[in-house]
Amino acid sequence: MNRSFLLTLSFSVLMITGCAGETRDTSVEHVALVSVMGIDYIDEKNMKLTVAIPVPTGESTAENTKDTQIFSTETKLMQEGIIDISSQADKRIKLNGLEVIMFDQKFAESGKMLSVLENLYRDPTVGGHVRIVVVKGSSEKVLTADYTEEPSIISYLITLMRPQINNTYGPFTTIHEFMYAQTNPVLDTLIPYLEKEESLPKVAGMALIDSNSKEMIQKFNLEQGKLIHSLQGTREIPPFSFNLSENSSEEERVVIDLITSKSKIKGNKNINDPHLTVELKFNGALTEYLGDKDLSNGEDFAKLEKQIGEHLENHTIDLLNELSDLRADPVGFSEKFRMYYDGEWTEDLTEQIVSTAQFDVTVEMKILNVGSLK
Amino acid sequence: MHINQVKKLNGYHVVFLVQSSLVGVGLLSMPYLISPMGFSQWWLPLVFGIVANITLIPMIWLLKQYKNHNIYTINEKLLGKWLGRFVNLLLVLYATAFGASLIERYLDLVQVSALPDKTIIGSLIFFLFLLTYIIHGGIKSIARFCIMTFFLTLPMMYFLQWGYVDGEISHMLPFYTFTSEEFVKAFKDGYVTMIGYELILVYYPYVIHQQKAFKHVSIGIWISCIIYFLVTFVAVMFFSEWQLANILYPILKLLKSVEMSFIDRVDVMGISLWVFLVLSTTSVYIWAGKKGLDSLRSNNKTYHLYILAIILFIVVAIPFSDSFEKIWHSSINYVGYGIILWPNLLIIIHLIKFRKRESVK
Repeated sequence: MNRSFLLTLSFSVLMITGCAGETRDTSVEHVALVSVMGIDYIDEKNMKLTVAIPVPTGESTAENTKDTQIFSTETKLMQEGIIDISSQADKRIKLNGLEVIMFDQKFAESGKMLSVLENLYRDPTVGGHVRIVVVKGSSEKVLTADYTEEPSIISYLITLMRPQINNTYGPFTTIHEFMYAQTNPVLDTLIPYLEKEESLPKVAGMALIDSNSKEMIQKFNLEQGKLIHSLQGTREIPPFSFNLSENSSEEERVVIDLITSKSKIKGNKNINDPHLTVELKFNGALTEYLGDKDLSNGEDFAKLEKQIGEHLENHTIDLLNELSDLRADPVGFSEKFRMYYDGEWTEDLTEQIVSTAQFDVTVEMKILNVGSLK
Repeated sequence: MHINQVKKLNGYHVVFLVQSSLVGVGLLSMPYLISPMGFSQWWLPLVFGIVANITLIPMIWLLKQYKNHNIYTINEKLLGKWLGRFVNLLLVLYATAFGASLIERYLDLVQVSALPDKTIIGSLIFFLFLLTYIIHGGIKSIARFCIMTFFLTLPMMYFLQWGYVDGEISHMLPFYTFTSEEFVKAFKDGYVTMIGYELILVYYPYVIHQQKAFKHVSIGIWISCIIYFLVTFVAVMFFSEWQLANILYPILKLLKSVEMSFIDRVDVMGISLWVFLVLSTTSVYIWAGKKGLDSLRSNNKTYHLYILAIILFIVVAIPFSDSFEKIWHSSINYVGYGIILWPNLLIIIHLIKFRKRESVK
């Protein structure tokens, strides 16, 4: 029995070699891992795909000291473009290391982001932390520009898109979060908006992508982005800097740092006459003040606290009015109604809630310290 | 110590044999399978647990009437030699086909997500060698492997916290937003994740504390149900209803959300670790298939196991069309439901026979 078993096994092992593939496995030297991808609008059917691939240090030669390889192609489909770039690069392009995907504003406005990202979301080799960004102008230009300040645009963009307390102007939308918000009828998607002026690209605001039309419909500034982020329930937000006397000629400026925020949103469960109570509470440290008030005086201090609270409250009300006009809900106000709704929730119901809701807004600011001087 | 002893499985062995034979590839796609219920799916695993416990009652009752017999000999006793053997042949085919379906689904997933440049043949050979080795040691060796698998893979539950933190607890409401058709569809597709506890019908004669078997099997079922419940709960928080209905393996996406400074792709690690779960589930099935083959051929030969391994290799290696595979995988699930309900029929036959015998006396 043992002998016949061993004979059968040996024969099987011998025969199984015939099952080996004809092509050799891809070795590390023949693989190019894309880190940043840029997608620009050409027309309704075509897009320009640009990929940035880091060059391993051992591979840079005396003539070519670049640490980033950039390839571009015009394509109709994402994977078609990847195949085309593979032939240009003479390497197999892989998306396992993809970190950032940039879309130019025109592409975002065309409403085609979802279909492109759905294909990448389907691909199991693409990681879950790929960040999505909209750029002003062309994403190809952002990737191909010469930067003297930064050795590598790839590492710069990856660091810029990594959530840190100093740059959390709004949500850092990953591919999962984008798909989640775009396919969730109670939400519209908010993604960082980059602008490249003279030098390196910077986060200049947040782009709002409508879940119904799938198009970019608005760009919010950084302060609005921070307010939306606070309303979404984020606990820590980056420093606020604003002019308290916007309407008068005298300037009164404050910089508040180390801010923690707390939001509470309540709905009245009635979709026909929606009422929402929005409470925002901020705690922070006053790091700089320009104005007439004496901060060592308790009365002046309380007045300043109240003034900051009112300023933020007014801006929050303005923001909510703007969202109401846009019929957009990046915060998830309509979730407070969906939770108690018997039936299938649709985007139209979300639009109905946001556009007709009465908001009762309270913002409170508490300054915990003013530094170590009197 | 227990080599020549028939009764080898203590309470822990039974608990983890049941627990491991439940958790296989099914868990990877559970939130997708029960997605017709939308967000309300989060409590369905608890219903599964209750149903499994109810369907376990006739199984244990029947086994208690035939303490030293497994389902194969009970079939022969109650249905007669030829009909019994025919049913046993179907059971062997079911166990093998179910095992093959598990291996195929798992290896396809490994190929797609972790080894896109390789064919599944190499992984399949390694898998079958390991599987044969585990089963070779008998049911106690399988039970010990199941215990090891449980403790090796349980830490993966820790990764759920990322999904929990990023998710929305408000998705738990409303509690009830589905039609009865949607509930039936979710139940029918999702209960496949519970298939596995019916194998007690095969290893019951090896259980030392047979009077406590119901309790031990129930504990095994409820450990799995709690795991299913937690996974489904977090998946409901983390995904939109569209994502639940369209992502085939939501657990992989949940693992992708894990962000740690020293490891990037936890999903690849998770899918690799999942091999233990698939090995333990498959080994119980193939061991049950081998026992069926032993009973059909009225002898206990090791080469029966090798025959099954070769059949598994052939079935998994043959590239069937996608539509055929879908039919195969779904019909095997229905056969599984049939086997869970099979003891009810046997009980009726048993009672009729018992009454006839009483009246003859």
